Amino acid sequence: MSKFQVTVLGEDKPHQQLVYRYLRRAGFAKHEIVLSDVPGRSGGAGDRWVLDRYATAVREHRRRAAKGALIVVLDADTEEVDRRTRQLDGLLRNSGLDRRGDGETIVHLIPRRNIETWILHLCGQNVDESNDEKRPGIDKMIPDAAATLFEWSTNPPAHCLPSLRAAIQELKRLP
Amino acid sequence: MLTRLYVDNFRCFEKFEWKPERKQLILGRSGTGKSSLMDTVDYLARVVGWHERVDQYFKLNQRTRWLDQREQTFEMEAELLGGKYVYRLITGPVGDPPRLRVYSEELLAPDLRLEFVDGRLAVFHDGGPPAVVEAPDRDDSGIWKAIPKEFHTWITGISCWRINPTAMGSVVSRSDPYPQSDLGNFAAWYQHLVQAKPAENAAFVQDLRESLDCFDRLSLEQPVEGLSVLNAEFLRNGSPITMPFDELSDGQRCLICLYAITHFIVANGGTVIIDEPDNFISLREIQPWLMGIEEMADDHDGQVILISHHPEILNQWAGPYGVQFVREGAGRVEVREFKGDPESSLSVAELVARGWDLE
Repeated sequence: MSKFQVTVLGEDKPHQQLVYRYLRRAGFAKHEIVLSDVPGRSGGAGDRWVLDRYATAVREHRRRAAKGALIVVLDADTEEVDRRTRQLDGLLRNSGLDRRGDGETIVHLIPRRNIETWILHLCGQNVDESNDEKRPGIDKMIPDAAATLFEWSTNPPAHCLPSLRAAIQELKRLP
Repeated sequence: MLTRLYVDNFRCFEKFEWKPERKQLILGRSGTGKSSLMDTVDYLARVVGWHERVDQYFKLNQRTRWLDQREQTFEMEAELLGGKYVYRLITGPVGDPPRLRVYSEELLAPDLRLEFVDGRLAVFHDGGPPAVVEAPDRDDSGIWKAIPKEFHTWITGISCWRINPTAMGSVVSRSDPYPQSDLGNFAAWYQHLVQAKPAENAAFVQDLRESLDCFDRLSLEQPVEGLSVLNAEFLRNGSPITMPFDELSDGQRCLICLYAITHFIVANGGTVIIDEPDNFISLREIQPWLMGIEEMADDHDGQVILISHHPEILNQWAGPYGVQFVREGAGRVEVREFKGDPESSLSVAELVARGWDLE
């Protein structure tokens, strides 16, 4: 068994599932993927869950960086993707950690408005990044969405949502 | 898939209702009826699907202690491809000395209703007058002979597991298509599967190669006519090392069984309930299996219900799929959606360990 590990820190099960399915498509074995805990139900605070754990996750990743990658999945919600990126940078600074370097295998996936927006978009539906698209039944679309994400990861189409295009660029940090 | 179970007057279940999802984790403290729930589903499958005697599983002395009530009621609902099925069984004591027997049974199926009362089975089609099929014995299910094929296939496909690796041997005298709930007959079941499901077996073995260090394959050798031995083969520096299945560790045997359930049952769209799948296996092995069985259930319309106290399983499944069995005092059991504590940054397992999940 390989000792390489990709750790996924996501704010909820759909975030985790989309990335897990993508990684499987990309050829990672089940034992190479480690899913961090997800919060209990009654969500709405999933972003806080990830933000609380981000600096620790980066610190642990850097201790083993040669043997792994860290993927963080965090909704932009009503803000811009850049705001989340700055927020994550600030968490490292406040913890006395260096900024994320260009060559580090730390991947930020920041769906706007949320992961459901990406899932619907990847499944061919018209969505707007500023609208909340959450509704029952979207979870079932995750396998198809992950397959499309894998297809797009080498060459995203022109209509690809800006936050998803940024994420595809981030995925290039994976080995 | 199983969508509802109602039980009244059996063990700790009084007017108990449970609505399972396609994936569900059942949490609860000791004595909250989690294992009794699995027994109930298993017993109903045996009585209705396998036509076994009702008093072989449901006992008069297992009626709810604090109820002074003769009748026991069991209801089961399933959503299948053909539509919704609702099954109801009412049992109770008959005679002196009293024996547990079937009082009545009903199955509502798409375009069909079966009703078994007082030893007479009536079959209703399209609202027309009933056809009385026969007067079966009240020791067992009366609807059995007229049971719709889709419902029968589903209910006989329900599997309830309480894996016990110490019960498993290596020697097989003949293959067995029916696995025992503790998988004590794993070797015989596997011999059947190798022949019956070669494609699933290839995926199963591949998964084991990723999951067990140096594992290569399972093989069946025939040392003498009529007997087979199940071996596990490992590779050490490229050379094979062969071990009889019962010489593997408890954890290795348990892990092999969990992947077998995933590939041979869930991959065929079956409903499985597994009581404490985490027993015996190491912490690092739980998550890859858990993700694998979830993937399989999603891709093949399987249904996976886990009963567990393990922190790894709680932290992955309690949030999205958890329900809690809760019992006030020594009274009736209720099912509540797991809500956690949205304000807390503690993991689900920590919340549960501190008893803060029910506050």
